[in-house]
Amino acid sequence: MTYNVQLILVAVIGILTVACTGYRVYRLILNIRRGGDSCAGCRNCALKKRKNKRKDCPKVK
Amino acid sequence: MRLSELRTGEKGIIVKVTGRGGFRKRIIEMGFIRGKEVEVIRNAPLKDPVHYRVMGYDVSLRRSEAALIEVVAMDGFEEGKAAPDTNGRAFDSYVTPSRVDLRAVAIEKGKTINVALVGNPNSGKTTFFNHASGAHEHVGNYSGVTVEAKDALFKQDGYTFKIVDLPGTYSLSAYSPEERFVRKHLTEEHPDVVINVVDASNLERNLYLTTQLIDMDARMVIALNMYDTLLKRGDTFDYKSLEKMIGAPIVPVISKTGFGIKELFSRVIGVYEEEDPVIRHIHINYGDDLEKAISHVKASVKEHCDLSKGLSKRHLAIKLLEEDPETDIFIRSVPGHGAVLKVRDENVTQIATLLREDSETAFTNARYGFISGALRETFAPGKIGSMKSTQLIDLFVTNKVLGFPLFIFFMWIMFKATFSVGAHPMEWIENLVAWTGSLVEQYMQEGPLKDLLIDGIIGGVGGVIVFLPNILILYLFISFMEDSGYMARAAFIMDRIMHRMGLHGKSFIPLVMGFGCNVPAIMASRTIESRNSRLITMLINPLMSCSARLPVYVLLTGAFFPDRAAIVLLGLYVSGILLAVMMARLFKRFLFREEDVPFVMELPPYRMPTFKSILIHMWEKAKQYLRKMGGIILFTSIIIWFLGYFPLPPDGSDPSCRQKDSYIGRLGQTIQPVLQPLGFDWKISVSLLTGMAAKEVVVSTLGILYTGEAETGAEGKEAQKLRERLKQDAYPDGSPVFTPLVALSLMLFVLIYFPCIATVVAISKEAGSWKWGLFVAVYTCMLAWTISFVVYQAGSLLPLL
Repeated sequence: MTYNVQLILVAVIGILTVACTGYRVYRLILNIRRGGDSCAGCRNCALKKRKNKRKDCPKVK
Repeated sequence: MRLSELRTGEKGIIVKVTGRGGFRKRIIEMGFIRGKEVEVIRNAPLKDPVHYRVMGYDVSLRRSEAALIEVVAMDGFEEGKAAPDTNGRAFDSYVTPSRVDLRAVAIEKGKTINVALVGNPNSGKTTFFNHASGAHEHVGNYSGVTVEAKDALFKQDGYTFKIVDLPGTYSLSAYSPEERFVRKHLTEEHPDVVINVVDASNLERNLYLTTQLIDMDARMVIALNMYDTLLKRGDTFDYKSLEKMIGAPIVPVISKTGFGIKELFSRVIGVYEEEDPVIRHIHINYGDDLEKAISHVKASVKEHCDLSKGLSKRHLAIKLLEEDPETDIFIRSVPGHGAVLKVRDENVTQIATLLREDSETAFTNARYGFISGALRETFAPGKIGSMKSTQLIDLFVTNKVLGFPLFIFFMWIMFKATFSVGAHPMEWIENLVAWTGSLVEQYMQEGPLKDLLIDGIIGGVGGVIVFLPNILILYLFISFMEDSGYMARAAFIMDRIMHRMGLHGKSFIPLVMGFGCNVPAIMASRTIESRNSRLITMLINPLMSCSARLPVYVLLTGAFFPDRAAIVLLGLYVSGILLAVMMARLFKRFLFREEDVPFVMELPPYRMPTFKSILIHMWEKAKQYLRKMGGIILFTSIIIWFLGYFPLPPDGSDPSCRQKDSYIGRLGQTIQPVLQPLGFDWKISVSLLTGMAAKEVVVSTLGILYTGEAETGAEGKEAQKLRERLKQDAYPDGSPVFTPLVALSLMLFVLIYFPCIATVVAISKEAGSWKWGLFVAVYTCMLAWTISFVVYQAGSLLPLL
């Protein structure tokens, strides 16, 4: 595997890591704002973020 | 859905009628039975009551009563069937659901039974729940392990059981959060059947809750748990007579082996289908004076308050007479409450005059009187001395002279085993990691990917994964102590210290749980009634050394204190406890000045933990640890490697300066001045910064940063173990970076500073404000800095290490 191929792969891994970490942080923030540790991961809040959809969360009543 | 949710003109098929007593019976007699069609004819002008048609008859029901009837709506059924399939075609678009289909759906849905598990703390509800449903929820031989409802599905004989495991409660008064929680669940969720788990070795106290459930008119099956203990003690218990007496089936079960669980659920089906010959509603006779008071209040409620028929008026009257605060709030929200409260007050005064005790005590005494009478006829204690072995063990374990030394000795054994026994499997994993690294080194061409694999992933994740055996051994001991009942004894001998700390006795349980993981421990503090004590417990919980810190300790003690590892580990844990004591006193003195609420600590009998339950504990922990490896530790390792690898140095530059000039090197050098007085170089500083995400990341970061350095040295250094690399690292002047003193200062810093993000989030959520999360983050960092500074500077002046 040449140096350049390795560099490209490393860049891809880097981007994926940052994206995954970013997503996890985003989920963490959502988790805190919505159901906390009991978040069911239904993604109602993520899909309908424009509106206040707290009532759609199965864990937040 | 509920019948009350159907709109005018809509039809539905009845699934089940929830609710209780006479109302339920009458509504079933009127034709509201499973599988029958019901139609909403019209709503009254104020939308209440609602006019329904069932079996050709017109019936008027109030909305609150209709809410107790579960139905399948025809529209809902059509919508569900009309969902498009993979070809985009509504697969059932050409089929109109027939009434037969709907009835089948309703009957099928009606075979789902909502079951609530209710019982005293430590009566074995969660063990029962785990055995019945195949779940692996945490159990322990002390009270307060379950702090929130957990649910699971389970099938038997064509029925689906939706089981909810509720926190343990001694009664259904509204004093503690768990009592309120259980009561709310029973009154608002209307479970079809309640399984009352009763500890057979402590019948009298456990049946108190049963009497309250009888008052509530809950449809109930009693699980006589730990029946083997009762038999072993030689007691005889005619439970068949008692079940006839109280009108609720009693089934002997042994949760830990699964004995009797199948039969119990068969009885649950019988009760649900109203086919069980035993089930009937009884009224506990409270004696003439109290019964008169109950009937007066009940009559007044019926006359003046327009309440739902689904509510037991007798139970309401009893609760009003007991001056239950939540019932008081409820009745005050109902029109006509003035007259009811007047009658209540008159009767409460009369009870006090006649019985010379307050009404609540009078009811409690009457309940215990009923239990005592029932047990006199059905229960005979055996001749074998009850709990002889427990008393014998307690003679030593809770002895005022031997208690503490034994506790310290058990802790020392635990750490010794964690370190010494764990060292062997740890070495195998270390060799495996090193072999993987050398394999990549050997067969892969030079380049950034190879560096990422060796230094970033293998160095980072591999550096942490080696501690898995140590964590499992620690958990083996913690599980054994929890399941055997020793933890409750540890709480007992620590109780005096707890009170000196200004803490509630119940605080010990969350603090002990903190040795495993701080997050569930903080959630466990919910059971503490006093808000101040609860907050103090949460604030000091991060000082309890969680298992995530163990890899740091094992790494550094292994490298710098190999001969005194167990003592150092024990010292660290004890330091955490002492600091928690100190901080609790300070918080109590300056932040929360409130008198302590008395608390009675229950000492459960010793039980031999099952091999399976301990294995489950360990397996759950291993899964959690490995998941962390593939998640946060892998991600942070890759990010740290990137920050340590880039920017690429210009050609011809000194390779030894590469890491120092990288992004992470610059970051480390920026924060280093703050941590230098503690003896830390820039690499340690960076490790502590990244360790804020999770404490294991401290080790993975050290693994990456020290692998990077090794690469510039002699060939084959990569295969060296991390602790060797730490020992060899030196400042430009040749003095070692790591000395035993630095290692001690670092371990203390890791013990005290910023709890992981998950813990801060848990504190913020449980305390109800971000302020508290932030406060913990700030105070722990300041305390960690101060302690490490004192230790390092004092140690430098007095060179003992």
